[in-house]
Amino acid sequence: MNQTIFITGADRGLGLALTKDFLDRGDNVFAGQFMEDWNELAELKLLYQEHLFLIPLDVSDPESVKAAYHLVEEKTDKIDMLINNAGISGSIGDITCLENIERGMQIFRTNCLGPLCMVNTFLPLMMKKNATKRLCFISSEAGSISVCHREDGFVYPMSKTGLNMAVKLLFADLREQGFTFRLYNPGWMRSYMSGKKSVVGKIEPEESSKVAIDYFTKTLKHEDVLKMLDNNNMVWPF
Amino acid sequence: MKRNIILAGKKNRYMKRVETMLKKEGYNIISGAEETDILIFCIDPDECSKNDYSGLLHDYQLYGLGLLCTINTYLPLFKENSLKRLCFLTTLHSSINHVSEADHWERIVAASCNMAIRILFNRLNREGFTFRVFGVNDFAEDSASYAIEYFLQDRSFEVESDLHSDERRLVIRDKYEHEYAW
Ligand SMILES: NC(=O)c1ccc[n+]([C@@H]2O[C@H](COP(=O)([O-])OP(=O)(O)OC[C@H]3O[C@@H](n4cnc5c(N)ncnc54)[C@H](OP(=O)(O)O)[C@@H]3O)[C@@H](O)[C@H]2O)c1
Repeated sequence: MNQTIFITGADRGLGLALTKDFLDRGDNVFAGQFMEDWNELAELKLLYQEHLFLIPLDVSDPESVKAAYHLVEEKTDKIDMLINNAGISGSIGDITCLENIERGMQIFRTNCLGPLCMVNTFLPLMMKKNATKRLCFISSEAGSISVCHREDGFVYPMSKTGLNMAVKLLFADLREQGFTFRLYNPGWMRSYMSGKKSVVGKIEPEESSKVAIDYFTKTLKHEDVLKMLDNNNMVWPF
Repeated sequence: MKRNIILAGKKNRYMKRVETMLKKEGYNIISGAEETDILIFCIDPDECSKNDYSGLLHDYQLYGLGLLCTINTYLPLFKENSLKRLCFLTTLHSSINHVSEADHWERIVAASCNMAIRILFNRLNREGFTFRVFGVNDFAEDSASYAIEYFLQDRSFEVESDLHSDERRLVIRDKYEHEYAW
């Protein structure tokens, strides 16, 4: 049965790849559009007039999230799956010479508080009768404290650790109400996180999207366990 | 030799007890102008509900980024011959593995701080800094003397080998010195 899905940060990278793949499957996609100067979503809209809805969205701003919710609720009576994908990277350098601390705030707002705000705001549409109630989060290897070997940068890993904790808290909060969870580390992708299409990285966002869609759409044997899986279906520790 | 110690982060009742006990034992609590041996930073973010985004952001600024700015400021005061120890007081509920209830959303910030400590450890342990992370169940509990003992004690260390060196590991410990997963 066709699903109705909301994807944040869908302009390019993994978000766009997921949007295309879900549309190919025949699902309806509400795509969070953050970038004013990037045309790929608009071009896709021409191909999927009926099934793709472009929704202006800055996940780091609760007012923008609220406005997005109102736009969505005018067009659908439920959301089955919310995919929190939007994310930004960045560094505040080495501990001996920290720089650009304000960037740390924006990264935390976007990568950690953004998904929390999305879930809180979109709950009413996800609680509707017959909705699948699936919450998906794109995290990162960078958030795993146990296996962290970084020596600087700080704020991107910290935001993803915070996200993992937020997801664990949401899991404790919403599991009993029938919500299921997916926490995904997409692997090192050749996406646009540095501002331009990366030439380094191990996989294309389109490859990671295929694995993600399988993980997000299937039913797991143990839905009462929260795990982070990567693009090789390997489990990551927190 | 009595060490010089800097206290930073939240000045809650727990930290005040730590300060009183350290002074009683003859340690010098210094404010930052002198050479130092130990820094103790208390991570105790204010309580936040799940949709208090500005509260969470404020906590993150004070503790997540605040922790880094504090270490950055005081790092030059740890001279070559000093103990070079960085200690952190936090809650056991900052462990992501440990969470089973959705009651305290400020744990998001406490968990982020654990990552900051991890990266500091990766960067500074090889320069001779040792680390202690002590977790309380509740900052109202009376475990300050346990925390102090843990902060001040020496742990196994072999220069030639990481295998026998507890000082080459970073863990959270409670008052019983039980280790908690991140
Ligand atoms: N790339 C990797 O190797 C990698 C590894 C592990 C995890 N991840 C995670 O994967 C997710 C997708 O990243 P990606 O690699 O596909 O990056 P990407 O190519 O940069 O795509 C992310 C999209 O989100 C947008 N965005 C930024 N801030 C936003 C906001 N406040 N609200 C809504 N959208 C916003 C970005 O716009 P701008 O371009 O204008 O910023 C961009 O269009 C992120 O959560 C990232 O942390 C990536």
